[in-house]
Amino acid sequence: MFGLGLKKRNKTDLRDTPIPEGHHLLEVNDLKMYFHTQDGVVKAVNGVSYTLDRGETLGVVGESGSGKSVTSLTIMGLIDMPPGKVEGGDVLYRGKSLINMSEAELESVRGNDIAMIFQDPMTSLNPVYTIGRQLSEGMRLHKGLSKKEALDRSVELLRMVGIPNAEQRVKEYPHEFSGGMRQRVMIAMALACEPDILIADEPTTALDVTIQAQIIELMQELQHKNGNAIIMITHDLGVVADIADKIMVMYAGSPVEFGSALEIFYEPMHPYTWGLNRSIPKQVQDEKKPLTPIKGNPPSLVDLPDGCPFSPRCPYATDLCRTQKPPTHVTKTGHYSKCHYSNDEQFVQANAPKTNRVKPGDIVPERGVDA
Amino acid sequence: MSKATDKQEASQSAAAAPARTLWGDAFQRLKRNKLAVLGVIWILFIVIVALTADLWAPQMLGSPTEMDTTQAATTSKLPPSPEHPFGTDALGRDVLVRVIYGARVSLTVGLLATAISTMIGLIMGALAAYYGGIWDTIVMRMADIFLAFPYTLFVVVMLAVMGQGIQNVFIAIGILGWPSIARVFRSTILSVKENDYVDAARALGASDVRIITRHIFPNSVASIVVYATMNIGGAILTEAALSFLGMGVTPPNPSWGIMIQDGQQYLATQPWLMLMPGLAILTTVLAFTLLGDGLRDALDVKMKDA
Amino acid sequence: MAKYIVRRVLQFIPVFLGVTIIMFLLQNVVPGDPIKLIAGDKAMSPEAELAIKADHGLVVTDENGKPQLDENGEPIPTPLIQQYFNYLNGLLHGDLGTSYKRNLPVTEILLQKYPYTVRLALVGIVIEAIIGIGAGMISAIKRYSFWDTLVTLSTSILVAMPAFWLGMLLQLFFGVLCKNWTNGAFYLPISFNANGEFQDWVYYILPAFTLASVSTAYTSRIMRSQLLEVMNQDYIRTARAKGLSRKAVIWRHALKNALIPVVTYIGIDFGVMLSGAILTETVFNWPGIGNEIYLAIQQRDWPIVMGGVTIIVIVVMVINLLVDISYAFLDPRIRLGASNSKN
Repeated sequence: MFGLGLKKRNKTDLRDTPIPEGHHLLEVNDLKMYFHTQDGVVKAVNGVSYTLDRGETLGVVGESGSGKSVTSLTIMGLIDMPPGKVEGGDVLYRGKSLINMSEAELESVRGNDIAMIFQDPMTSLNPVYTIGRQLSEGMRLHKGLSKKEALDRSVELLRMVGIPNAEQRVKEYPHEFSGGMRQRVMIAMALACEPDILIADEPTTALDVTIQAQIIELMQELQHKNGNAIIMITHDLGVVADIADKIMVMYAGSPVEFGSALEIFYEPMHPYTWGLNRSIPKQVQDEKKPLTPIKGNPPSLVDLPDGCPFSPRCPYATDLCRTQKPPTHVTKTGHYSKCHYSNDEQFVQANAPKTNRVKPGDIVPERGVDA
Repeated sequence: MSKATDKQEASQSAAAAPARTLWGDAFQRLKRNKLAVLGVIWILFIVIVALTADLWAPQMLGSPTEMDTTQAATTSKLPPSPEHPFGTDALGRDVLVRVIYGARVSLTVGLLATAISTMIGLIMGALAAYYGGIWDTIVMRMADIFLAFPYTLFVVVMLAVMGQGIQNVFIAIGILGWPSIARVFRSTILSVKENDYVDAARALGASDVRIITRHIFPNSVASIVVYATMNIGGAILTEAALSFLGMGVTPPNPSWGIMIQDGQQYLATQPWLMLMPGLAILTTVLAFTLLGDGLRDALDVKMKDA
Repeated sequence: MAKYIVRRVLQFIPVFLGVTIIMFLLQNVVPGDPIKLIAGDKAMSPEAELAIKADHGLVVTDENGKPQLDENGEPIPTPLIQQYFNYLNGLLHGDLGTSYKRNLPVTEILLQKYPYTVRLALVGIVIEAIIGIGAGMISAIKRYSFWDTLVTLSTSILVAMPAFWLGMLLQLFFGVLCKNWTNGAFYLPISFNANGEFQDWVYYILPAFTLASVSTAYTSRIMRSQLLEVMNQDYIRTARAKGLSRKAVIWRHALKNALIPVVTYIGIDFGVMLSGAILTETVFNWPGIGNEIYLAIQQRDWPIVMGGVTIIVIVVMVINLLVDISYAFLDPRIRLGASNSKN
């Protein structure tokens, strides 16, 4: 009875099919995921679009409840429907729609072509099974490995993510691992089938600061080796600062700014992004107080404001902001921002924070010298 | 400008959510729970019928205790009819009127036994949790001893010692029921005790009794109410079982358990004799369970399943 | 593990002493003179009375079993505390005293009855496990469906129903109303063959179902809430993200976690069933230990009551200990101890 569902599915993996002409590895087009609850319709994801290619890292940044996690869970098909419902848009993986896929097809994508690691490593592993068994499961399912083969490979994977004494550790249970070690196990589990895309949902939030950097470095290192794409979801702009190629800033279910990491840090156009920039320690030099929180709370996703969703908290909001939805202002490079005043260069120049973050190519001073 | 908006919003949200108390809030939630409302209606119905029975029931249906010793075929073991909606028993008594008077026994035992269990449980629980240490060990060991007995057997032995009668029934059930209430109260006190306001009260020099009655009791009352409600149903079931075994209420007093016992021998021929009192037990206990479940959800009391 | 078992056994001793002391005290305040019970209606000489008292350890005797007399020539009643120690001493040698009424060793009477209770409990626990776990699983997997409502409703009704009444309903339904179909096979009181054995296993079904009814309802409720709670855990999402199907996630990941508390409950309930249900055994006229103790209570035959309760308490304690040990085997966090969780 415990052998249920571990037979190798006789299908070619989607990641071995070439990306069709004119498509990206992953394309999210105007995705909308609504939850129909007793209290009304929660517009958790309300028009998210981006593209991603192999080897790239996308950072998705926003406060809790901004829809960043729901977006990736929707891509994975892990939202229970009902109460969730895709109200529009599409997700294309190698040109194939994940939204219209059958559950069986999705199961062969999940953990195989697209893998995910979660925020809390302490609760993300099943307490009653050994690490080896949990690591093996995906490989036996997707690659048809035997128990023995999968276990051998699990040992290799544990070594790869830097867990010492892997032969022994593979027989142990999750409670015998520390938080950082468990997150390494989660990474090993996600990478077991060499996925195209690794989605990491706040992978370091629950960990000690010292461990955080190690985990991020590990993910980067493995990305160089395997060439996979990474979607890094975080509420902390600082976390993605060093590793993301592109950054999408989300607010109240939709992206408010999207651009390359350099653009988001050096030429941010949206007041919300400015606020996020100001709340990164040691990032800001033009203010007397080093850290400025964004006042107020995100709006209710059931009852969004009429105009710009950020207008109730935006220090620059005008009547126009409060009454009309902002247009999308796009630059030549594809950097876009949803703000009525993003095209007003003077306004942006005057109010955007200056950062002391060093642009690539500049001479690197000692970190943490300034106070 | 943004400040003005803030204020406006604040006043709006204040108007939308009027200040409610825990109990007011819980009452609103309880009202929305259809099953709980059904339970309340049934309990009220039974209570009213039982309380007013003397005024109308014997006049309409005859005496609940007076027997027709002739056991004439014309009056005894009659099937349900308009005159005797639940039929008559072997001694010619109307079953409906006996069920009605049986409700008095069940409700009395249910309420008084629960009151006794709750009182003892509260004192023991408070002793164990508030003073801790050796008190905690003694009280919890005593609870273990009481729970180590097979429950029905223990009550039967108690009644064999104390003698039959409604008073002894609720005293015995009440005395044996304290350990579960004590455990609940103990654990709520332990969690409430951790709160800073209790430390603050103690720092201000409040006495133990004051801290327990003013700070701890109000914060544990929700879970006590839920457990007590559910306990009433259990006590009613135990009374029925005792009377069924012939160890509870003494005949000819009508008790639902005795009626079932009387009806057992006519199971094959006059099944209504045991069906009617059984249905009375089932619906009454169910009503208390539904009310208890409703209160648990409305008051948001966490409890274990069993 | 060994340390744990020893600690549990040591904890068991004060509880056991407490239970037996309470029973012993109750026995001594109970109305009724054992001599009258033993003698029945027959008139008895004072010598014969004294001999019986001596037999039951109620008066002080010399080493030949002869009653000792004080200076007035009166027999000396054994002090209560001495009686209790004698009782404990007998217990250690497997002697639970002699029945007042039947003049047989209590152990003999109970050993003759106990197999019926054990067999009934075994059938009952199988019913409880299969129906309880099955119904709870369906209820949780098909949450808010017709089946979930049905299970929730029937468990509420089962819990609110007196078990003895349920037993009578079952007799009424299978024995009377479905007489033609069941050939009266379920109708009770049960019949024995010449050896005093039951004729057929079908006689176990109704009493066992009655015995298990309430706890089956609880098992299904616990199973439902456990499974629902487990399905909300992060590790279930991890398993889904690996690409396991919903079915595989339930069978491979959720079930074992959800079953741990359920198995504990069923195990403890097995102990309760082994203590002989007075009500079920009375309704079905079942010749088990519960029925025997109940009759003994009515007849004031205290040695049987005392011995029965003693055995029951020991059985319940041993079963609970076994449950705790198996719990540790099911849950690696307890088996391996959470002490080395940091490294």
